[in-house]
Amino acid sequence: MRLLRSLSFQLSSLFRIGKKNRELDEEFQFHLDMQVEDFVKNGMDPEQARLEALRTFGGVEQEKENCRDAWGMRIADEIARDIIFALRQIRSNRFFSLTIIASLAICLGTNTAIFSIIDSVLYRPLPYKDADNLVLIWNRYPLQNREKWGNSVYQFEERKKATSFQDMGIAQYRPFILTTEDNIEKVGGMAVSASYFSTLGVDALIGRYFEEEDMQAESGNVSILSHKFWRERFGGNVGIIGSSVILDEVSHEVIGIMPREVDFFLRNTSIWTPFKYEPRDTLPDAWHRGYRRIIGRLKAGVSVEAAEREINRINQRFRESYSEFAKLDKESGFHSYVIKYQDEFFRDAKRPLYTVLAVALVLTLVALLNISVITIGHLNFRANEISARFMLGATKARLFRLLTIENLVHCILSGVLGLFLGEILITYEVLYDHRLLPRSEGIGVGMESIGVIACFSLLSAFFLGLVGIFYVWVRWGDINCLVPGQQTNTATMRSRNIRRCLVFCQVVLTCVLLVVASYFVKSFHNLLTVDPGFDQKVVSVRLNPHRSGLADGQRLVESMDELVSELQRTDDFASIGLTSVAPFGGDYYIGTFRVDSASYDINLHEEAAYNIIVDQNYFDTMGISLIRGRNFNAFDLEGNETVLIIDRQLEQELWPNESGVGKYLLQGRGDNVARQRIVGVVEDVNLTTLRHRNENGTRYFYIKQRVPTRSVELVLRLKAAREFSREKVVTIINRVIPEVFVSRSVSLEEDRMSGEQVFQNTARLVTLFTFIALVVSSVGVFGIMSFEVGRLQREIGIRISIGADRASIVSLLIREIMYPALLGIACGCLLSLMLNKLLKDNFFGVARIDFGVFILVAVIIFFVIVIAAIRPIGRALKLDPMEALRYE
Amino acid sequence: MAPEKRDLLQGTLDLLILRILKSGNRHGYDIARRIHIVSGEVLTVGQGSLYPALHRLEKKGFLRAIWQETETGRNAKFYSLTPEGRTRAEQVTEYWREFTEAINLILEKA
Repeated sequence: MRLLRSLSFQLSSLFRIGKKNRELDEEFQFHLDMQVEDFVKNGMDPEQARLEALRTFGGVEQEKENCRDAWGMRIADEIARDIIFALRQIRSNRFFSLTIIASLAICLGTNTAIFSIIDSVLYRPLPYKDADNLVLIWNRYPLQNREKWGNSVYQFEERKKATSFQDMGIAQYRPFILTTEDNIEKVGGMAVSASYFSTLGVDALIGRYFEEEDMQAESGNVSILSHKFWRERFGGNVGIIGSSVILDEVSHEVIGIMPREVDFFLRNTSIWTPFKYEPRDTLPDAWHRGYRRIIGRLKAGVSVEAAEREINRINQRFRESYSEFAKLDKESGFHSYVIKYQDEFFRDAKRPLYTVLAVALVLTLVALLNISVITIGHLNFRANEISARFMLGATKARLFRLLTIENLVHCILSGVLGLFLGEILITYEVLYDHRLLPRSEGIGVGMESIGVIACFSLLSAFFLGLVGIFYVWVRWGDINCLVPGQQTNTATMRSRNIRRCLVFCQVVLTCVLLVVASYFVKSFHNLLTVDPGFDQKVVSVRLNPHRSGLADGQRLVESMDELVSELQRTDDFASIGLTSVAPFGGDYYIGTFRVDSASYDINLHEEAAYNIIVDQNYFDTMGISLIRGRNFNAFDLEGNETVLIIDRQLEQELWPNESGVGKYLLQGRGDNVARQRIVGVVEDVNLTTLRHRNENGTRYFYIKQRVPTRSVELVLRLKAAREFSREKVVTIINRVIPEVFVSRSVSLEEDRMSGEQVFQNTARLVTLFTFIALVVSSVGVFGIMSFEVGRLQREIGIRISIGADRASIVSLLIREIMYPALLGIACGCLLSLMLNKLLKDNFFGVARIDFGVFILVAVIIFFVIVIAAIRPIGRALKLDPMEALRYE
Repeated sequence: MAPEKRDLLQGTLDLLILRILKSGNRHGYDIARRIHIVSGEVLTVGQGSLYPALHRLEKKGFLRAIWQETETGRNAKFYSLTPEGRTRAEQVTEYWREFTEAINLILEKA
C-alpha cells in the first residue's frame, strides 16, 4: 500500500513537475521572508537581515535539489537526460543509427504484418452466436486411407438423436447453372437441411429460411441468396423476395436473403436450396453412402470429446442392429470424429502462416544479433567516453541504463516505423494476397499488434543493452585497463569471444533459414517438374449449355462431333478430346459401386472412385498411356453393355496383382443394377493436386454411353509451333453450337500450380526473408572483420615489418571468423534437421536429410563470409607497417 | 568543550517533525522555530535537513500538505499528520523512549 502511494506520488510529481517546482520556490521564499521578518524584529537592518537569512539558509538551489531527490525525481531526471543524450547520439552518428533503425524497422514491419494477419484471420471469433460450440462431424476409414470422409443422410438422421447436440444440419455442395435474361453462368451453391441455418445461429436478413416442408420432394422449389450475390446481381433489391431465379433450367422462388456475415465464411456459395432426400438415402444400407457435411451445435458444457464418444456409440448401436456392417467397419477401421468449426475452417491456413511468422521471427533475431555486432563495434569507437564515465564514478548499472535507453530510443523509432511499414504491407497485400486467406475482412494492424511490437521493442532494447554492458564489463571490467589498447590479454580474449559468439549465433540462425528456404525452393521445383501423368501442353475449354434442350447433355454431345471437325479444320490442333472434367478443374464427382465378385458376400460393401466421362480421343490427346486392354471404340455404343476404363490405382485396390480387364463392376440397387465391364486400364494421373496421385482411383466412362450432366470440356493438344487463340476457338464454338458458352479456358500447364498458391506464397516469403537474413549476416561479418583489422593493426604491422607474407596475414584474419562460422554451419545444419521434421508436411519430394542441400547451404554461407571479409582483409594487406606501428 | 550549536542525532528529525505536528498544522519555518523553542533553544534544524525530510515524509504518506493563509495573510504550505503519520509518530516515540532508557542505563551504570 505504502509502495503504491509512493509510486503515485512519484508519478504525480513527474507529470506535475512544473507546478511542484513553483511550489518549492514559493515555500523557500516564504521561509526566507519569515526569517528576514524575525531578524528585522530583532533590530536588524532589512538589507542586512536579507543577507543574513540567505547565509543562514545555505545554498538555495542545492536545497531544492535535495527536495527533488526526496520526491524520487532524480532517476526521472537522469532518464530524461539519457534520452536527450541518446537523441544527440543519433544526430551525431546518423549512419550508425539509421542502419540500426532501418534494419530493425524492416524486421518489425514484417512481423507486424504477419502477426496482424494471423490475429485477424485465425483468432477473431467467427461471426456466429456462441461460435465456439459449432462443430463438424466427419468419418474416418483409416485402413482404407480415407482420413476425412463425408456423412450419409442416414447417419445424419441417426446422429440428430444425440443428446450432446442442441441442433444439427446437413449440407451438400451443389453448383448451379444460373440463367438470367442476358447471361448464363455457373454459380456455387449448397443444398442444406432446414436445421442448417438454425444450427449456425444466424437469422435471415430478409424473408425466411427453409422449413421442414421445403425439404419434401413434392414441395415447390425455393432458394435463398447470399448477401453478396443479392447485392451484386440484384442490386440489393428487396423486391426479389417472392420472385424467381432459374437454376439448372428450373424456376426457384427466392424466399430469403442471408446476412452479410455468412459471406466471408462461405465465400463460394451464392445460393442455397433445400436438401431433398432421395428415398434410397433413407434406407439403412445407405449408411456409408454420402459425402455430406454435418454441422452441429454442442449443448453448453458438452466437450468435443464427449460429443465424439456419443457419435461413435451411435455408430456402434447401428452395427449391433445391422450386423452385416460390423465386418465392413472393422476392415475399414471406420469411426467418426468431431472437430470445432473454427479449427476446421482455419486448419489449412495455420501452418503456412505460422511458418512465415517463425521465419520472420528468426530473421528479426538475426537482425538483432547483427545490431549487437554493430553496437559493440560502436562501443569500441566510444572507448574514450566509456573510460571517462568509469573514471568519474559511473557504476555498471548506470552504464547499463544509459545503453538500454540509447537502444530503447532506436527500438521505439524502429517500432513506430515498423507499425507503419506493417500497415503498408497489409494494405497493399505485399506479403499475402488476401484472397488466399480463409477470410480477408478486417485485416489490419490492431491494438494487439501494437502491444506485441511495443513489447518486442522493449525486449530488443533490453537485449541490446545487456549485450552492450556485458561487452563493456568484459572489455573494460578491469579498472586498470581503461585506456584502449592497454587491456589485459584476458580482457582482449574475452571480448573477442563475445564477437565470435555473435557471429556463431548469426551463422546458426542464417544456416537454419537457408536450409528451410532451400527445402521450400526444392519442393517448389519438384512441384514444377512433377509428372502429373498427362501432357501439360494441353488446353482445356469448358462448355456449359445455356439454353433449354441441351441441359441433359445429350444434344451437347451430339453437337460435339461437328464442333471437333470444325476445330480440326483450323489445322491448329494435333488432337482433340472430350471429357466431363479435366485435371485440376475441380467439380470431381465421386461415385460408389460394388465389385461383381463372389468374394463379396455382403451386398453392402461399396467402393468409391472418381467418375470421369471421356471420349475415345481423350487418352491420346492427354498423353495418358493405356497399360492393358483397349480404348473405347465405335462398338461401345449406347444400349450395349456399359464399358469402363479404370486407372492403375483402382485396379490395384480392387484386384491386387491381377488384371482388371474383363472384370465387372456393379452400380445401383435392387432391380436397377447396372453391370459395367472393364475394357482397359490406364496410367494414374494427378487429378486434383500435383502433390498426390489420385488416391481414390478413377472410373472413366465412355461419353457415348453416359453423357455429362452439366458441362463438357474440350481438351486440345496444339500442333508444334501453333499458339492457342481463345478468341478463335470461342468464335468457332459460338458458330457451331450457339447454345453453349465457354465458362473456362486454361492451359493445364498454367493451371497446375493453382492449388499450390498458398505454398508458392509461403516459399516466396521464406526465400525472401532468408535472402535478407543472408545479407544482414554478411554485413555482420563485414563489421567484425573490419573491427578485427583495426584491432590487429599493430600486430599486422609488426608481422609485415619482420617479413610475414600475405598468406599468413590472410590466415590470421580469416581464422578469426572461420572458426565460429564453421561451427555455426555445423550447428545450424543439425538444428535444421530437427526443424525439418516439424515442417515436413510443407515439403514435397525432399528427403528429410538432403545432403545436397546441406552442402549447398554450407558453401553459400562460406562464400558469403569470404566475400564479406574480402574488403577488410584487402585493407589489412595494404597496411603501411610504419603507419600501423604509429597507430594509437 | 561543548559544541556551540547542537546538531540533531541522525534519524531523530523525522521523530521531531511528527511529534511537533501532533499539536496541529504548521508550515516549514514554524516547525523549525518550534523545535528550536521547545528544545530550550538547544536544537536547531537546518533548512537543508528540514525540507527534504518534510518532502520525504509527505512522499511516504505520513504527512499531508496544503496551501493556506497564515495569520499575516500570506500563502504558506502547511503540513499535517495523516492517520498513518499519527500511528508512525506513536511508534517512533515509543522506540525513542526505549532507546534513550537503554542509553541512560548505560550512562548511569557503566
